[in-house]
Amino acid sequence: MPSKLDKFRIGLCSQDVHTGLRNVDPSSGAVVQYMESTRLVGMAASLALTIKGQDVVEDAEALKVIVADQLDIDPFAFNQVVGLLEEQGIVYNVERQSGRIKRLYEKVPVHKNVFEQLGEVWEQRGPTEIEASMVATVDALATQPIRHMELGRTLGMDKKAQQIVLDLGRESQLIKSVSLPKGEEVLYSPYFSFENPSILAELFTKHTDAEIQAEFEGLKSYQGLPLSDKLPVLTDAVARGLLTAPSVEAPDGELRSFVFAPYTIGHDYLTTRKSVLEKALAILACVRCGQHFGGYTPVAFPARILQTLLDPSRNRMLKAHSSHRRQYRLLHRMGIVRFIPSGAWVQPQLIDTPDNIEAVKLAMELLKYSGEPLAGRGVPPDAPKLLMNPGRYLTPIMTVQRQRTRLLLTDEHWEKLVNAATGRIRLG
Amino acid sequence: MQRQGGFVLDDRDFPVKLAVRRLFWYEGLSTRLNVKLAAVVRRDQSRTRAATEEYTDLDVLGVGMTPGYQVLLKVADCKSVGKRIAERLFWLQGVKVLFQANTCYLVRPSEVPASSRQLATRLDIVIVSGKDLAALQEFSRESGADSGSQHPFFDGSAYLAFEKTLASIDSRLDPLQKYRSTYYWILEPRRNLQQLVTYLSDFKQQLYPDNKPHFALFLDYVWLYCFALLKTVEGVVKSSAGDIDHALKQFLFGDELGLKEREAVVHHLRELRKMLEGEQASSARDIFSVLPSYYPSLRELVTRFVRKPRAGSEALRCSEWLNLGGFAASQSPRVERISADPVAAKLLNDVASFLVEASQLNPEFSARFLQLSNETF
Repeated sequence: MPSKLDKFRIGLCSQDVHTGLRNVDPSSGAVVQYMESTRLVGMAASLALTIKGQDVVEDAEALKVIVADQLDIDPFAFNQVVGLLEEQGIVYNVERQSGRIKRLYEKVPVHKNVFEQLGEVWEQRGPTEIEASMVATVDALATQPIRHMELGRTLGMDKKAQQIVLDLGRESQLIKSVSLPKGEEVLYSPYFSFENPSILAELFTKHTDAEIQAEFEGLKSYQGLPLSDKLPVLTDAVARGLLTAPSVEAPDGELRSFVFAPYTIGHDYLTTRKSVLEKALAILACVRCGQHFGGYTPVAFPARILQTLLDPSRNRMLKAHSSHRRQYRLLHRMGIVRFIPSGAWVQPQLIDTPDNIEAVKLAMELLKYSGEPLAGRGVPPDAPKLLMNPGRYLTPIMTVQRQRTRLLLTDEHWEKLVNAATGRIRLG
Repeated sequence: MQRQGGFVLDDRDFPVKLAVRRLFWYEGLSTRLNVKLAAVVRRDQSRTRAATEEYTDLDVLGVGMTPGYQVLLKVADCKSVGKRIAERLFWLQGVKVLFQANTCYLVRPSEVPASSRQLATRLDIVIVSGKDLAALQEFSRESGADSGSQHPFFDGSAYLAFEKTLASIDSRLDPLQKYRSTYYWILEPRRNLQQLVTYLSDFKQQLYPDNKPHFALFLDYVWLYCFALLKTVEGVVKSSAGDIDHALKQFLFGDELGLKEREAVVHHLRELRKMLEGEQASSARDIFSVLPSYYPSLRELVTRFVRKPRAGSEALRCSEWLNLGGFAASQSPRVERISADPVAAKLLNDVASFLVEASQLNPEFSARFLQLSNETF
């Protein structure tokens, strides 16, 4: 059985698996035998994201038809999927008539995603080994391409499970491969926006697996890495045309490149709506340039810049700055922003076409799930310090003793103090 | 004069108040009668030994929100006799400032002297005589807004029934009554987002969903919370619609400075505990948090109201209809289901379930609320 993934990743990968399995006959033996829980959770994730923000689904019969057509949510599984979401409190007030769902209220979280919650459901349902292996494989390939012979060892899969996963993955096009010399193969995910996947073979021939792994992992956690000599694999990948890296002029006049490997199951972004993805990458590259090469006034909170561009109450316009004309020239040329003169400086303003707005939102997502400040919020500032200071660590028994002798107030007392200090106390 | 739960049963002005309430309702506002304005005072300085002293009350309050996120407050002073109008106009001007109302009506059934009308114009107050009121009612009938329904919601019987039910609540829950009738209106709107939950939470063990007065109280708290949410939406959008999370945090504590100050206080409390108990002092829950534990759910709720301001405003009206037309009038044979905006009805249920979860009330409150809502709309 592969090692444990976190719930968020499980939820995410379940949706990937469900999306991939749309290419396979859902009644085929392997899907029915091995993938039941994963498909159900994946369908639940897809349905939840579809109805998010609707508040009321007045015609659930129509929804059933739409999601069957657009998301391949089996009409026979529809009631079960809604039932799962209802159990989780993601939908409520489900009105049923003679076994048919007529209407429902939606409560899909806006500010956090449903994947973690659904990942927990997946775990509780006790997935089969093949299911667990499939989810782990999809997750591993979402980070980087992997040599075929390394897959089983990396993920701790036995040979039989690995074969089933690869057969099913290839059939469903969840796993793709390119051939290396000597009959080897490199496996990769089709959801990566590789410009030309066949180049992967050249990359694996020239660099070691460890080098590739290290740099791709770094890129996965930080979209828009500034290219440098310290990143030979990614520099090579960009030079050979595998990865995309928009360039922005830095204050010293040099063109700096920022590399991306977005992973998206929204296939449109890799095909018909590729222009939106390209715009998103350009936007993020400009923000990264301000972050890494901002001179005396580097960008401290990239997310806030994107929020401003999305905010109609601020006219989707950044404040004037001496660097803006240079830093956002790429976006100006691509028709994403217009420059509003402000003395000798300019204020970039988003040209609010639907594509541009969508591109900024996509850039925000790429930023959000890269371990940026948005994702890091809520971590107590003292926690990393304590972890870095092993000398002050006390063994559990010693801790208990200290607590017993020193405890003066209970949690409830402290909580009351905090409530009083923050205005959460009755007046009378 | 006979009082019941703060409401004067032999209120001579009641028919006038009802007429204005009906007018406000057809203007698209939600309404509330007899809102008390008071101040917190030291008991030793209080005339009645109570912790609060009442300034005055608003006869009819109309509340709504425009699609552009501005909360509209209309206040009407209703008297059945037309004496001392000039004094009353000056008083109403003060009320307008104090309550930050957009519009004030001075309503008198008899004709008003021309000099009073001039004064009213200068003070930006609308005088509504009996003739004016009849004309306004006629206009709303012509526009189709007033269907002439004889529903108990309009004739006052549902209102009286609701107030009577609330007045029968046992005295153990007096603080909850005091909050809804007085403190809620003293506190700044932002503070009610947390205060209301605190009050419900403190009495979660004494509130029973199958107890009719208790359930009525819960219904009224839902209306109050909806109103607080409209003020929140207004504040959040003013601050930043693009970053609801941060704007809401600021709103909860007044502004960025208020938020920082509270964070500093909590930080010092955490440090104090460390000093007293050592570095290893820790809890299973994060008790040293400026934000309440229910903040993520509150943020979700506020976001939904921001995204659909029309439905948010309508949710307040749905709440009023549910309380009076659905719950209080349930014994009347004249009650029929009304069609409401489905999204507004749903948002209202979101508010109810949020309050139940945040205050850790018996979950049956949500279930009953949902049932009543499904039966009413």
